[in-house]
Amino acid sequence: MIREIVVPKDLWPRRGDWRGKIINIYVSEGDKVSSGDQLFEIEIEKAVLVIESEHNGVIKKILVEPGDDVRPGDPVMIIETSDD
Amino acid sequence: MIDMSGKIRIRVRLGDYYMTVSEVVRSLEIATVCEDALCPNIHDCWSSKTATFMILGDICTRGCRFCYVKKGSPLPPDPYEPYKVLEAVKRLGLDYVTITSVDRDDLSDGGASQYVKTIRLLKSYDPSIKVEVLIPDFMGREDLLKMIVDASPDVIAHNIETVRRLTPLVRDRRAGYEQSLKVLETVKRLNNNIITKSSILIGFGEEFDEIIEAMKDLRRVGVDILVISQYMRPSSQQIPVVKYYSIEEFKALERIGYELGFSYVISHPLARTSYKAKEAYEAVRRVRE
Repeated sequence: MIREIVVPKDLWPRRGDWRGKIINIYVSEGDKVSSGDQLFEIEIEKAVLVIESEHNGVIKKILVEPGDDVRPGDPVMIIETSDD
Repeated sequence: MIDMSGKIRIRVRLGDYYMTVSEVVRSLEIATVCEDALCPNIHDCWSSKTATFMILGDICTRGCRFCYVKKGSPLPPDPYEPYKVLEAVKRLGLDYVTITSVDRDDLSDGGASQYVKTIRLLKSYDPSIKVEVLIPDFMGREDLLKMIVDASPDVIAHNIETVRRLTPLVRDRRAGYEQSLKVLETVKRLNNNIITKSSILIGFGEEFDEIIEAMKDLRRVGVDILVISQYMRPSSQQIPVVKYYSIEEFKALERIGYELGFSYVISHPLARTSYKAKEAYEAVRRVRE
């Protein structure tokens, strides 16, 4: 199944007003990833969020670059999952 | 883990337990301080199926300069809120409940009666449930503090937040260092059996000796559990971090805390008042037995 990986909008579910910056991307298009693998990092004022994959699959497309400003729900990657 | 900039790194993978907590608090429309303060531990706590409920709405009447909770004119208290908290406790199967609130200087009782209703409801549902409340200062009023004490929560926390000198910079002008000490002292005087707890955030520009002075002041008013943690700026709207302390410095403060006689000390960059609250409570009970 093709899925979008987004900046987690459920981390602080009812406070969607935080903003961040992509500072690292650990995968490339075509990479196979497993659930728990680190995908990318977002720096927010308070912390650095290390986003891990929730699925097994293949990264089909990366939609952001380091330095991009992001907000909760913004699409970051497209993954083709193999676990559903 | 802390990176080169001093910022905490939080691993994020929202699993089933996390989403269960999220679904419960959203469907019941109960605020949580985990969300409203952008707590860095939310992932850890919700993934362990625990949360800190925030009663009396999600808008605070005070404007402390470190805090991310929304400020302004709050709505009237929700009479169903205590029942919603009980329902959440049932659904999540909690045996240790941590409750805090916004400040409600607009209410004649500061919101004390809502605390009392919530504590009593939980205790009447199951007397074995332990309830910890992190209360506002209620303007230092003894009659309101007595209402809370008489509802018999197991732990009453009230945060001093910072050292004496920086209090006017960090906290709302209606808060006060002496007033917070008085709150903690009054609770102990009204019922010596209630465990008390207080937190100091560090990183606002305080001197090490000033932290020790605050710790001594808290011990002098009988505080049992001390929490020391790193201030992390939630957004550019709050005051900046002046210093990120090392783990070694936190360990040194923990050691000093025990030397001063606290029954339990949590001194860690990520510690927050309700973090690992049950463990702290049980440790103090063991010390007392």
